[in-house]
Amino acid sequence: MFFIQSHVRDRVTDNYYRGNTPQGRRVLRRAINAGHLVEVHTGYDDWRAHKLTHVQRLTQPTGDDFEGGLPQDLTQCKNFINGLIASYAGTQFVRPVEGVHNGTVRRKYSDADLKMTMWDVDSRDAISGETPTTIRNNLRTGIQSKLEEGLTRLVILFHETSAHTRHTANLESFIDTIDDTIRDYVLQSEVRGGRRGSDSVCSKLGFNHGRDS
Amino acid sequence: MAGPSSQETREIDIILTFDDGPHAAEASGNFTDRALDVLADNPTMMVLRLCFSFRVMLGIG
Repeated sequence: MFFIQSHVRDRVTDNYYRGNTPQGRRVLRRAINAGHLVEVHTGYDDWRAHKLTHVQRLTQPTGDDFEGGLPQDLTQCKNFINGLIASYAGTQFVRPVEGVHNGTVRRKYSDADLKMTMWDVDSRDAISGETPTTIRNNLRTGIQSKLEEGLTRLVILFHETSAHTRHTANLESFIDTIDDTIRDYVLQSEVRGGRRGSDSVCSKLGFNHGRDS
Repeated sequence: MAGPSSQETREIDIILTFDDGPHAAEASGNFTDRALDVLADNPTMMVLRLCFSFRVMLGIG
């Protein structure tokens, strides 16, 4: 799932939407055609008391917030994404700036017919000081923790701009780590005592051995 | 007695999300294109109709 940041001036292209260039649009169309989701990552956070958004502070001022505020930003970004390719089913999700939200913005997301989606596991690939090794550890421990809680659908946070994630070899190793972690966790849970009751990790995950049937 | 009919699988969905959009493709070496290549080539991943996901299918029985 790729999120498109809105309300931001691309440092290179000076576009309102990151990706709104011939090259960016081509990549997005390729993603959609491959079955991926392209969704809204609004850069407009009017929950804040101050006027500058997080992204504005990081890049450059885009001027005063426009009159339509967050609803207009959401609509514009949806229109941009949905206009990329006629066959696209349409945007469904929104992620807030820095993952920070409150009731006001959640209502506006809902009004725009967008479902807010956060993440279960943060790879921390955008955090200063992290390395491919620590990112793999973050993935491993984060996934194990969520599996312990019984979750079976995990949303994992990455950033294309991460100096680590944008390298193909690293991304491949991150995917391998995710895969290995899930397989090891479930299989080792079985080995650890062969539990078959309701406390079994596999039971929490919904596995049914069928041994009593 | 356990048999093929009693063996069930459970799907664990992993949804990878990338937060920055393809501006990195413009500024930092076409990451998203290469990411799509990696994901398309990953043998453990099934690209679902809607999600940038793969599923690990585990059968226990």
